[in-house]
Amino acid sequence: LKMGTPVKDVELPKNAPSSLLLQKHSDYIEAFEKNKDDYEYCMTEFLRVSGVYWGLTAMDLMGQLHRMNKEEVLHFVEGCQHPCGGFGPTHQQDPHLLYTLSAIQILTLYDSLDVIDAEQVVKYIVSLQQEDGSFYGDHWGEVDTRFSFCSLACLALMGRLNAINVDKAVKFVLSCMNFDGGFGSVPGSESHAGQVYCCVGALAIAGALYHVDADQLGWWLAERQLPSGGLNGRPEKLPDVCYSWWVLSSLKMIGRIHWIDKVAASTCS
Amino acid sequence: MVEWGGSASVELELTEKVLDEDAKNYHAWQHRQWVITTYKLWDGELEFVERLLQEDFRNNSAWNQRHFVITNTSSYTHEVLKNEIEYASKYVRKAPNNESSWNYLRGILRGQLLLNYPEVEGLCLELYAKNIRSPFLLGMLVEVFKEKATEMTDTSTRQTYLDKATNFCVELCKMDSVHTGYWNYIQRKLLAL
Repeated sequence: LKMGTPVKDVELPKNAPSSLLLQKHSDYIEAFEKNKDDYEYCMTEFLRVSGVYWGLTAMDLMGQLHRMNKEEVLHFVEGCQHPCGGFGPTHQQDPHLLYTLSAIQILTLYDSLDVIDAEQVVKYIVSLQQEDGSFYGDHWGEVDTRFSFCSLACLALMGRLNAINVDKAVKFVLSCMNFDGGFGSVPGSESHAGQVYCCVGALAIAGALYHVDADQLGWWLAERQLPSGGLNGRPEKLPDVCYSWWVLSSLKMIGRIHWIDKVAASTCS
Repeated sequence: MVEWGGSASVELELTEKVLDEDAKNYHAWQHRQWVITTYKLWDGELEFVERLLQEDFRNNSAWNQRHFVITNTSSYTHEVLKNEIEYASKYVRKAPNNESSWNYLRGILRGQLLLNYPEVEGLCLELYAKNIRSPFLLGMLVEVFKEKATEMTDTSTRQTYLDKATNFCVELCKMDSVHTGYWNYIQRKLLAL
């Protein structure tokens, strides 16, 4: 029986680990933060606060959050806030919605929203919403559905979703829905799993998921799983473990997570 | 800065240079779409897409661009749709396991009655008869026969079509085992018809 051309995929090496090495993961994260002269540590300075969020969340999921220095983190995050209300990725770097979300997520994780000027954060986000409902990432004016998600998620975490025009925000996100049921960064842009996560997340927060054709989108998302078990971000591209998050969480939000073969996915990861 | 300088064609060339090196570069395609929309440079874009698809018809970004151009120019009229079905079919025949061409085909047929485009059923049966067993092909066959069943008033013919669709689902559970969850769901939906 002819399949008709091979599928673009990876082949798992035979000696790949078969279980999750939790201790190594938590040790790695704890050590990474301490080694401030490490090359990768320096090269990731431009997204430091997001890196802190990912590290802390991973530690929390592994029940190891107590190994991180809460006071130091809160002091760091405080120093990232600008007078306009937005947060930069690290001290003395310009504010942006991406880093504002990470900052608010960290503070929520530590139940410490009170250490910063929350009201000013709301003002910052409101100032970035445009007439068509979209959001600039910062005052330089890039529009992307990622920023719609950042805005809605931030405000929802602070209990201030009503500060922006939610209907218009939803309208813009929906204008980015494509012929294949997926979502892109702006209207017309190719469907991409990362953007799908942002759009589905934004719609979920806004209580507007009913606009999504869950069967069509669910199938597009399920198709991201390749024979190796890994997931890609768009058709005919190689799998990458980051897509496991974007795809699985999107499927969970639309109630179709059982369309992924979880054994295959965990083996690949 | 493009707005200030007014050098739209330079921007188009720039995206083309980037896409020459990295044909799926998300940012290049996004910028290209912006330039085309803002400066109305639709002419020649379909030819550009065709060139890219000839180089790599698995390029999903190029398929997306094709949809983008047609939506914003002729739109998908009945005639255009027939043309596009033929266009996509050409690439489906070349590589029946290529997700991108099937995705495009399914996408443009969304909301359409397959009855009005019998060439789709024709294409699928032709490939199946040649022993091609791609999950996208079988998935489309499920759709074809499901629609035939719904459009049928005669109960025994209706049942025949439903059985055909169900059999394809069973086949899919075996050959596309990583998506068993999905194919079981589709099968259950058929039973509920």
